[in-house]
Amino acid sequence: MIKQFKQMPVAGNWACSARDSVKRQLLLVVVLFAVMSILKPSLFLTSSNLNAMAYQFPEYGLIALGVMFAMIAGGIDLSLIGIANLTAILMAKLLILWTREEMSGIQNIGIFFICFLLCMMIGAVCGMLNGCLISGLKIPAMLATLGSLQLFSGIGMIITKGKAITGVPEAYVRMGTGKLFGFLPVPLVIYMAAVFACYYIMSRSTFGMRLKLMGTSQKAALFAGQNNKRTTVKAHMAGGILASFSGLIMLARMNSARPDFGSSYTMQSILIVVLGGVDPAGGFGTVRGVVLATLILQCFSSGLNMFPTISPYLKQLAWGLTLLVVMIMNFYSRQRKAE
Amino acid sequence: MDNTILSLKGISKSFGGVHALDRVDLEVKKGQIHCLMGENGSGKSTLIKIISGVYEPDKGEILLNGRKYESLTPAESVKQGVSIIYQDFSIFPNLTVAENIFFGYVIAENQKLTHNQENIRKAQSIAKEIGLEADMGEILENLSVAQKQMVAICRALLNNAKLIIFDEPTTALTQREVKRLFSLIRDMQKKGVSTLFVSHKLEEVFEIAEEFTIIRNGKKVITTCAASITREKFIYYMTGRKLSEDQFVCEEKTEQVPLLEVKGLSMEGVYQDISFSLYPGEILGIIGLLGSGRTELALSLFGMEPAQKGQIFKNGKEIKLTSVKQAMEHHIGYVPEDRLSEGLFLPQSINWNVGISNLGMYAGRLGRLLKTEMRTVTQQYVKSLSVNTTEIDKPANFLSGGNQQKIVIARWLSCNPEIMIFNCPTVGVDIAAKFDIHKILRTLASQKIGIVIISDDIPEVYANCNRILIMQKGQIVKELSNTETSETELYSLMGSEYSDEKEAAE
Repeated sequence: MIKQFKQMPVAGNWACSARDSVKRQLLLVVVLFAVMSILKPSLFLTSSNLNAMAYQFPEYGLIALGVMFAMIAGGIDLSLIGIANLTAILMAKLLILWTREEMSGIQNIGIFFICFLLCMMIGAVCGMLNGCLISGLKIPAMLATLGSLQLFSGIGMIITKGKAITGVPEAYVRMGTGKLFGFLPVPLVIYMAAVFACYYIMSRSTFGMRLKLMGTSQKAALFAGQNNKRTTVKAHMAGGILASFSGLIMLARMNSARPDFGSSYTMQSILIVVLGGVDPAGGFGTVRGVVLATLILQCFSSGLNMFPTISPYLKQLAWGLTLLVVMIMNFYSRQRKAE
Repeated sequence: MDNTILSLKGISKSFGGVHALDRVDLEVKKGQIHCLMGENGSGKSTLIKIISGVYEPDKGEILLNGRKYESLTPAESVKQGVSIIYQDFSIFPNLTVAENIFFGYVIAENQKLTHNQENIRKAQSIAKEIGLEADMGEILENLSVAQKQMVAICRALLNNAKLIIFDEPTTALTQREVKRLFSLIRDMQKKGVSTLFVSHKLEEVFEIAEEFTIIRNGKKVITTCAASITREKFIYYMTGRKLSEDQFVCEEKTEQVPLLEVKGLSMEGVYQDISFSLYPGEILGIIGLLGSGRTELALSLFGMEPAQKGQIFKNGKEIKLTSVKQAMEHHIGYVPEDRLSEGLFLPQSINWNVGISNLGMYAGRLGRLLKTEMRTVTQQYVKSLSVNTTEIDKPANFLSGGNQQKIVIARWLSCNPEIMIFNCPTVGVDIAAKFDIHKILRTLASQKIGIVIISDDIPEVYANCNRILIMQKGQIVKELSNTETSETELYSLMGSEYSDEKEAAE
C-alpha cells in the first residue's frame, strides 16, 4: 500500500487536484465578483460594465479553449492568435470584395454564411498544419506553433502590408456586436455554443478519451493501437476552428483587422488554461475549469480597471505573478496529496 | 566487538495508521551475503529506507558497526559505510563514467574542483578492480544496463562501503549479466564487504544467499540459512499460500491449419529467416537473451515494427502486418514488456485503461462514448481476471504490478483476440500474482486462443509452454517440446551464444 502510494508519479495527482481546483475556482469567481461589487458598486455592478465584460472575454476565452485542446494532447499552441488575426483579415477582405451596398438582407446573410464557412475552413487548415508539424515531423509543439505563429502573422502582414483593413460592411459589424433576443450579446452566444461543443467533445465523446489518454502517454497509446497522428491533428484543428471564431468576433468588435491585434492573448490564454487546472504535461483538464478561469481573469481584469490609482501597466505583472502563483499552489497541493 | 555489521531490533514504522513494519529484526554479519525477501508491498523498501536514514523508525533500535542509533540520517549512514544501489541506480545519464563514479566521493571530501587526474585515476583503478570495461570518458547513457549497475557499484566502493544493499538488482539484467553480478558480489565478499540483497526472485536467491530473512505484510517470518529450506516451503513463507505449478499440456491438436504461420521473416540487422507456426490452444515460448531480436520479432507480429521480408499466414491466408491497426483487425493482441511506460496510462482510470483499445465498440452516434457499456465490460473483466479492486475509476497506479498486468490483459481480452503475444508477462510481479497470470494464460489457451510468450524467465517458459523456440542473434536455433527438455538444458541453450563468443575470443 505505502510503497505504491509513494511511487505514484506526480501526474497521478493532477486528477484529484483538478477536481479541487474547480471548487477553488468557483469560490474565486464568486469572491472576486462580490469583492468588486462591494468595493465599487457604482462602477462594477452596472449593466454597462457587465455588458462590456460579456463582449470582451469570448475573444480570448475561445483561444483559451483552443490552447486547452493542445495542452491536454501534451503540447501547446502558441499560434492561435495568429490564426485568429489571419481569419479576421481574410474575412474582411472577402466581405469587402463580395458585398455591395445595394444587396438585400438575405443576400448579405448568404454571403456572410459562405465567408464564415470559408474562414472556419482556413482555421481548420491552419490547425491541421500545426498538427502535422507536431505529429508527423515530430517538431516539439512549442517550436512548431511558434514558427507557425510567425508564418500566419507574416501572411497577414503581406495581405495587409502592415496596415489595418477597414471598411467592413456595417451589417456585419451590427450582427457581430448585436444582441440575440435583445439581451444576449452575439459573441457570448458564440462562446457558449463553443463551450457546449467542447464539453461534449472532451467529456462525452470517444475522441475526448483518446485525446486524454494520448496526452498521458504517447507510447502507451501506440501500444494500445491508437492513431496518435490523427488525434494530434484533430486536436489542433479544433484549436484552429476556435481561433477562427475568435478572429471573427474581433473583426466585428474592432471594425477592422490587423495582423498584430491581441498579441497579449497568447500569454493570457495559457494563464487561463493552467489556472483552469489543465495539466501542462497533458492528459488532464476540464472545459468547466477553463471556463471558470476565463471568468476569473475577466472579473479580475475589469476589477483592476475600476481603480484609477492602479496603473494599467501593472496588469502584465499581475498576470505573470498569477501564473506563477497558480503553478506553485498546484505544486504544493499535489505534494500534500502525495504525503 | 562481535562480527555483525548491521543489526536491527524490533523496528516498527507506520504511515497514517498502516503498519508498514511491525517489530522486524534483521542481522547482517561482516562479509555475509544476506537476502531480504518479500513480495511487493511487504515492507522491504521501507526497511531499506530506514537503514539508509531516509525514514525514521517509530520504535526499535539500529546497531551499525557496534554503534547504537535510534534513527539514522542519510549522511551518517553513508559515513558508516552503507551504500545502496537502487533499481534505477541513481546515476546521472548525462555525465561521464568517471564523473559518476567519483561524484559522491568529491562531495564527501568537500573538493571544490573536480576533473583532476587524481580522481579519474581513482575511478579507473576501482573500475579495473571489479572488471568494468568502459571508457572513463564515455557518457553514461551509452552504457548497457549492466555496465550502469557496475558504475553504481564502483561509486559505492569508492565511498568505502562496508555494506552494499542491492534493491532488486537483477530486474533489468539478462541471465549472463546476473551471473557476472553474482561473481562480483562474491569477489567483494572476499574483501570483507557485506551484501544485503533484496529480491523476490527465488532462483537468484537460492544461488547467491548464505542466509535470508523473509518478511510478509511488514512482519518478519523467518531468518534461516539457504541450505535448510526447500523451494515449496520458501514460497509458502513468502506468500502465506501453498502454490505449485504443473507443466502445461496442450490439448490434442485437431486443426491441421496453423492459426499463425510465419515464413522467412527478416529484418535487417535484427532477425533473419524466422519461421514457426502456432496452433490454436497452444502456448508457444520464445526464449532468448536481451538483444537476440525477441522483442523486435514480437513488435513485428504486432505490426509495430513491420518485418522487411517474409510472409505471415493466419488460418492459411496470407496477411500483411504493417501497422498496429492491421494487427488489431486480425485480432492480434500484445502485452508489452514494460507495463509502466508501454502498457498502461498510469494516472488514468482502470476503466479507461481497459476500454481504450476497443473504443470502436463503445462509439455511439456523433462519436458519443457509451459509458455504461464500457463500464460493464470493464467490470466483467476485472472480476473474471480477479483484479484486486472493485473501484474501476481509480487510477491504474493504485494497483500492484500483478494487478496492473491483469489490466493490460483485460484490455486485449475485451477485443476478442485470437492470438495473444506476451512479452515478459511477469517481470516485476510478485509470486502469487505470477501464478495468477499463468493461470489466466492457461485458461486462454483452453479457449483456443493461440499464445506466444517471449521471455527469459526459463522456469516460467518451461512450466507454461508446450513448445519452446530458442532465439540467438536473430535466428531461431532450436525448437523443443517441454516434455523432452529440462530447465537446465534451456539455460545452457539460451546462454550458449555467450560461451561461443568467449571461446572464440580465447
